[in-house]
Amino acid sequence: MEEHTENNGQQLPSMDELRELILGLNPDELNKLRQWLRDRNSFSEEIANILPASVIKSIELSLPLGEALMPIIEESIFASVQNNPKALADALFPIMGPAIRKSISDTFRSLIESLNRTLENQFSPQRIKWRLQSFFSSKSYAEIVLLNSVSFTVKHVFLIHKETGLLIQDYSAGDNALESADMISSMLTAVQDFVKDSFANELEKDDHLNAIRLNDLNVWIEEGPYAILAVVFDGNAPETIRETFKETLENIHLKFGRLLKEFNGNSDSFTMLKSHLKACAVEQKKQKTNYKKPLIIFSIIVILSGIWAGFTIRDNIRWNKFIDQLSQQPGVVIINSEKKSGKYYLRGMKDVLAGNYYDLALKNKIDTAKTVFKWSNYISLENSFIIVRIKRYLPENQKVNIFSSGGKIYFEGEASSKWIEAAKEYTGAQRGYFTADFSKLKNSISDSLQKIESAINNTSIVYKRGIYKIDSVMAKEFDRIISLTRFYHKYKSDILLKYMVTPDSKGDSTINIVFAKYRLKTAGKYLKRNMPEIEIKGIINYNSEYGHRTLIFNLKKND
Amino acid sequence: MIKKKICVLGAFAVGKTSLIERYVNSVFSDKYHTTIGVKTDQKDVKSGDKDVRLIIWDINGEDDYQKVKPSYLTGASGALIIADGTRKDSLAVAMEMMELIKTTIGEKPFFLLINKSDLRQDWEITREEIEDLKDNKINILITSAKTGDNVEKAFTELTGSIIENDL
Repeated sequence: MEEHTENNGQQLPSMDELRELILGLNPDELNKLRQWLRDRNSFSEEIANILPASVIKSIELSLPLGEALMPIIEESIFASVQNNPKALADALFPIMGPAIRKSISDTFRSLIESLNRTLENQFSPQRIKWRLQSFFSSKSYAEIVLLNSVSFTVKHVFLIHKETGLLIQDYSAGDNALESADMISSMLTAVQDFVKDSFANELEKDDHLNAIRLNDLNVWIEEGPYAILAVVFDGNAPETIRETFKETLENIHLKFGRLLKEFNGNSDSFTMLKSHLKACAVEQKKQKTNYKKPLIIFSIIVILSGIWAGFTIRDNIRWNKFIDQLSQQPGVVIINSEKKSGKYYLRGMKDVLAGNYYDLALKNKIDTAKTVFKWSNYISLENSFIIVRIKRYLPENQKVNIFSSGGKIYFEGEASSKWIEAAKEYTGAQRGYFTADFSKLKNSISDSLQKIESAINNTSIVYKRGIYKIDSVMAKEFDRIISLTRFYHKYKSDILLKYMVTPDSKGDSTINIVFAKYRLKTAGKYLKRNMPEIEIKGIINYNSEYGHRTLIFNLKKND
Repeated sequence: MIKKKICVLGAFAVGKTSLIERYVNSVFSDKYHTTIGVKTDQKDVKSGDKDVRLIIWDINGEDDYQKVKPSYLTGASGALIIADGTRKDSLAVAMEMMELIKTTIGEKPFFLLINKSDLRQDWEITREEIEDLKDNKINILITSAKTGDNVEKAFTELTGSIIENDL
């Protein structure tokens, strides 16, 4: 209700008009304000109407609305998860599933690739070479494998604006700066677009070309919401390195996401990204293992080992030869020989008659200073040694040759009975150790005896006709026989002297026989009387081939 | 250095590649090689006080065998649509390209270049048609990749429009 006041006839302004003047708001507007202050619902409704537009405006004006709301949003998400985790899970489900599948797929692919590489090389000479490299270097085998399997050098890293294909920032390792980096980036984007368009039916929405390969040159591509990271390298990089690239891209998006989204072609604002891109420029080179030092040491070791081995082998050969020769020496038995702590030890048995082993050692160039001999005495049954002992025992006899043959010791030659007796006595005492053979040894008396025997057997005494008594001439013959026989008897005691009388062939045979008997009797008495110790036997022999009126002798040995 | 992606498109054999070659390398060849897919070139220019690097996407000519892939246009800051003055049908294709640009990248600056001014005597596109287009607020330039006529101007003015559009 307007209130007007009169002052000196002039109409003064009403309160409403005054308010409008002061506040600049008409009554309706003021009422509305009043209503808002008093009625919170009404105020909230009004705010709700303008809030969306306000948010949109805030975005347009690039006001830090997101940053301001971040704590509230975080708290809201936290509260939502606490209260009802399913709600957020349901909301995220459409994107989580593909992301998880892709991650698993990438992991498996990288694992299979790695496995394939390992299997390909498993039995290759290259692996043996790597093991040797590991042996001679200070690196473990796994390190060597890694160094050799994953030799690669990142040449260039491009960060490309996804929408426009414009190069945001790039990094080139070493002196490999590219003048045409912008063109490369745009062509990469064009190729990506081409592939996506061409195989749209076979690809999923988020699929993208993630690798290009030309011989050793590789381009690995990772896509983010606003930017693409393309890494150019040569060599073989493990799939795991892709994680580095992904992480780099994610970090860039995290820190510069808004800037990337609003990229208008001005890359000056992104110079700070160079350090991020540099982090992708990793390099793993096949380490040229420095073989020089180990090779020199190895060579020296080989040479020294060779020399030592050579000397050792030479010494061993000499020793073995010496042992071999020594063992063949008569009167030497090698029990044991060994080398211990650089010295040679020999244990054996040696006959005193054996040769000088020391000379043999010197002959074989054995270092006797490094040799220890342990001998035990023994008596060797070597025939040569037996012969030596026999010869030492028996008196020297030049006429006797003692030799061994066929395992026997032969005595050959001529020796006296005494000598023979002594030899037999000695060899008899050694019975069991060797066999002596005296068959070739003649007693020096036996010849004489043989002659005597011959002489006796060849003696024939012829009687005169009509005579049966022994005259002086005949007696000489008889005595000679007796003497020979008695001498013979000394050496051969068991003898029989046979004498035969043959009758006369002329005249009366009966008388001839009587005379023969008388002659026999007479001769027998003479012989018996003069050599009673010797067995004699006389007979009349009627065989005329032995002569007539003849007395013949025959000395027989009773064996 | 500001980088801008611009696309050059139009019907086949209207002179897109020749115009770019003339502009980037100042060369012209009578030999015709059809562009398959896309190829890119770059040229550094100055627009006012700004250094601009133009990344020029030379997109294959639209015909029955090759269609322009809209993805090539994504992110472009501007475009040059080329028509061949001696072929009326190329103008129709140019119109289609204009629509494609609008639907793909929105209201970005573009210029329509009627190329092959050196063959004016053989032209099928009439002056009236050109005036009609100008009346429809389409930026048009008559160019010749062979002689170089208006080539530099086309790119320079487009760049200027792009920078202005950014502001």
